[in-house]
Amino acid sequence: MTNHWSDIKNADVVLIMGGNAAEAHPCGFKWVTEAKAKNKARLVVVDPRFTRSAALADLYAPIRTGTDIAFLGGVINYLIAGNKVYVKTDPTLENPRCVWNLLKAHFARYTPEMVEKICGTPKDKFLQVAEMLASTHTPDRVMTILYALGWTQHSTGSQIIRTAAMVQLLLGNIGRAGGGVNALRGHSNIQGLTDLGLLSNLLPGYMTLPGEKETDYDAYIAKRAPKPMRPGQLSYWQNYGKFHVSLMKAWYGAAATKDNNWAFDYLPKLDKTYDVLQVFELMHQGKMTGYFAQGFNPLNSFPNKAKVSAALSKLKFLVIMDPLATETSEFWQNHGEFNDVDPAKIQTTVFRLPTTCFAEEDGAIVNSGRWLQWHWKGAEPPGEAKTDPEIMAGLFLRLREMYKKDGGAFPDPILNLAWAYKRPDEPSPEELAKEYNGKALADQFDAKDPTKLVKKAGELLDGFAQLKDDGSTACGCWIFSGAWTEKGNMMARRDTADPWHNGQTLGWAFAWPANRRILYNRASADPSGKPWDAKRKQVWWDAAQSKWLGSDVPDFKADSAPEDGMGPFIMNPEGVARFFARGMMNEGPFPEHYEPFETPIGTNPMHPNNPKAVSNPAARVFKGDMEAFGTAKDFPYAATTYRLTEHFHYWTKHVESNAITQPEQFVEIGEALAAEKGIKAGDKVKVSSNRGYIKAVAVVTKRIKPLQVDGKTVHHVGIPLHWGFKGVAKNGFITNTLTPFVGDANTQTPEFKSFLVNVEKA
Amino acid sequence: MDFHQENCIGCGYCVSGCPFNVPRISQKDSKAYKCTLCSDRVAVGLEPACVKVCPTGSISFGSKVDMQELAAERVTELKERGFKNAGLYDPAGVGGTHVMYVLNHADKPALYSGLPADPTIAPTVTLWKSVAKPLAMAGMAAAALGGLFHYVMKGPNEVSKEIEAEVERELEGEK
Repeated sequence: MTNHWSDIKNADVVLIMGGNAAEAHPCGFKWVTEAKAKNKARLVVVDPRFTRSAALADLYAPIRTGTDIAFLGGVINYLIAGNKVYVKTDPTLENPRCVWNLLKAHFARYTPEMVEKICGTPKDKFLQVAEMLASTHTPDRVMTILYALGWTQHSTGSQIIRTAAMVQLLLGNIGRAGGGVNALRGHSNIQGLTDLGLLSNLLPGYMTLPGEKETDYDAYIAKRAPKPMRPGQLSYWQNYGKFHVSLMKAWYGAAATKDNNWAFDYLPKLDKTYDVLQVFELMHQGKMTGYFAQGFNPLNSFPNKAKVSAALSKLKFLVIMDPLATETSEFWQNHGEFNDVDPAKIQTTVFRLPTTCFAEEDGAIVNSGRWLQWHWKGAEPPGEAKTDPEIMAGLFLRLREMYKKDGGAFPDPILNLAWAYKRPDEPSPEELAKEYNGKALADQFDAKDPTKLVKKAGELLDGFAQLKDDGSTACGCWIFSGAWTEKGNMMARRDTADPWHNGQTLGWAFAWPANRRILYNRASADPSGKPWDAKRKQVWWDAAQSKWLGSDVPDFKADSAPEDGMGPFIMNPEGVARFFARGMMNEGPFPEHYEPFETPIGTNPMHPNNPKAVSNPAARVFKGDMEAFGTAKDFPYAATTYRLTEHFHYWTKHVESNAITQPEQFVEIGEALAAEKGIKAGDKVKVSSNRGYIKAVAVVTKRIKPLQVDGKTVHHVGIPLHWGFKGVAKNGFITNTLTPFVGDANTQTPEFKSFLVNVEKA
Repeated sequence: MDFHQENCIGCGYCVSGCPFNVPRISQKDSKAYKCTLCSDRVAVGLEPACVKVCPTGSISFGSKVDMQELAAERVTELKERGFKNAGLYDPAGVGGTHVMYVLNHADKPALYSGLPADPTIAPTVTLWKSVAKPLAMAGMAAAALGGLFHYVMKGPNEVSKEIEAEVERELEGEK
């Protein structure tokens, strides 16, 4: 989130698209209710289904799954054509090659008629939504956008979100209370996962691993620490070296020295990204020996179950670290139609290491709003369950022994890893938290007054501004710096005081970065430093004190006067946000609509004569997966998967009370399709894609209506995903039997939300 | 509305008489059960548990008048959003309810899990309360008077220790 949960109450318009917050985020949705009650906010929902969020909306518009770029592109066109924008940067905007004119020309093609043709959203509905969104282009009105996996899980997911960000930038809704582009996270602490760099190409704090050609340390840093592109800009990533060296000092301690480039050679150099699709592809090719599934149930969670199962069967060993007996841990067992495998033919050895769950350990969880909230153990773990750090420490200490004894091609990164925990076999959450906060390794003096001691060696740092690239500071995750200082555990704070009545509550827990609640909040004030909206005062320039003050922590250089002309987007070397992204997105500088890889219409109305531009040309499709895609001839219906209030993912089917509230697998089918197929509510139906089938009870509903798309009628089929063959709910099929093995062209997040199926009576 | 659970004999009149089809007779102890609005909590100044734990803040608790005022605000807001027939479900036919709902379409309460449009007290209950109850009371009074005469005339009728023990064993068995 650029903003955070309680800030949603400050909005005038709330757009929920690519998500269903009322159902999937019921607790967070209360802030939407608050905005409606206290702020007369209007709720707009755009979704293929009339969801529980739609039921509470002031305006609902249907849309075909996977066509969000076309819809939002149409919004951009509407905003520009109607001059409903709030951008004033380049005073002339006349050069035909200036970004503004390129943007205009690009999106002029997304007319309301084109939106209707692609999305199936009736033109008048689309225009109502566009008008509602456009109403926030004035300084006194703000819109927030709430989205979830309904945007990320597409082959064009990153570009959908980018288009939404462009809408918000045009409307002037970034950096504003009640504004922003807000990802509603699903898994507890999934925000923390990316923050700590647990994706294969990342280091903590959104730093990146070097590529295999990046063997020169200085060049590696220089590439990531761009100098300002215009005078007077901050370009905050210039400090990359400080964050990176401090990270390496946290990891390798005394072994990271200036002479060995702070152990740069210890870092793996990527030949390609090792996202999970890539990993399972390699496994499927028989190129992997072992796999650790830590808090992860890939047999259920990954697309094309048949491929995932075949891949797991080729492993020599599989380690499951999980509190539950997951389907993945029993992928080799025959469970009839639900998992029809022959155990005699599977030679994979499976080890199960029972772990604690979050309520059985202390620690911090990062929520969608970037708040690190400390929590305390609620119960002792059952049986032999151990915490994840304890298991990892046990493995590490044994591995290190083996390297010590036997050596190896390059044992240094293992042997030299800093491991100064009180109990080496069980690092405590407190020690790990202090490690990511960072500490001084040598006495630190004030940059302006070298006689003034700021930190003594060994003291915890106040924040990332104190990090150095000379090896005198250590910090495990620069964006978390400030979370546990000499003043104590900032994440454990529970002060609800809200002196500005805008829900920012700076004394509640700790928000990264620097306890800042709303990112880019400099943009909430005009160029002269005065808040755009007196009702929503966030940050302002105080001329008397010559510094920025606020109800939030200013996202800006604290002493940079407005007349210096520094832009609010301090992470970008140009100081402004980007409509035109050079070299950042694999598809190109502007978002474009592409069809899902399984498209019900078989053509891209934006490029009807170009068969290479039907689906995302920048997406990666492995050999064999293209052949496993189906076409509308055999699988005529657009399918999408989703979650229900009563269940969390594949966990709560192990819990009796949840299993009682939603005991059995079902699929949702609109009344029109049901009538066509002779299916009645309660009938058992078989839903098949080109990769397999599931059987479930049919729920026949008014909530899904057929759409007219490019002259064709498109029916949607809705498939909740919570069932499997383990747990106390009624056993069911794994929904991801049906989904295609292809991901977003930038993140490789699988396209779970748009594929083709056929439906028949079982 | 609440029960004196200890006095309930499981006759089932409350089930057939409830216009909202709420109470149920337990198959385990043959007593009637329904939501009590946490009368035990309310009696000591707390809100009902559902109000306290509701993660979305959907339920409010207070005096009837306060809740009617809150509802009126919500209804105004809903009307302003285009729900012409928004209103409070607090049916007059039963003298109002203690749990009230703000409905977007108050003209069609059946849309909401089949809320009855115009609930009234069942004739059996009315009959019981208006005609049968006074008659029964008179009957009971007569019986009591008769008992008094019997006591005065014949003296106390003592229960033997054996019978008492047997009754106690039976009660234990039920538990």
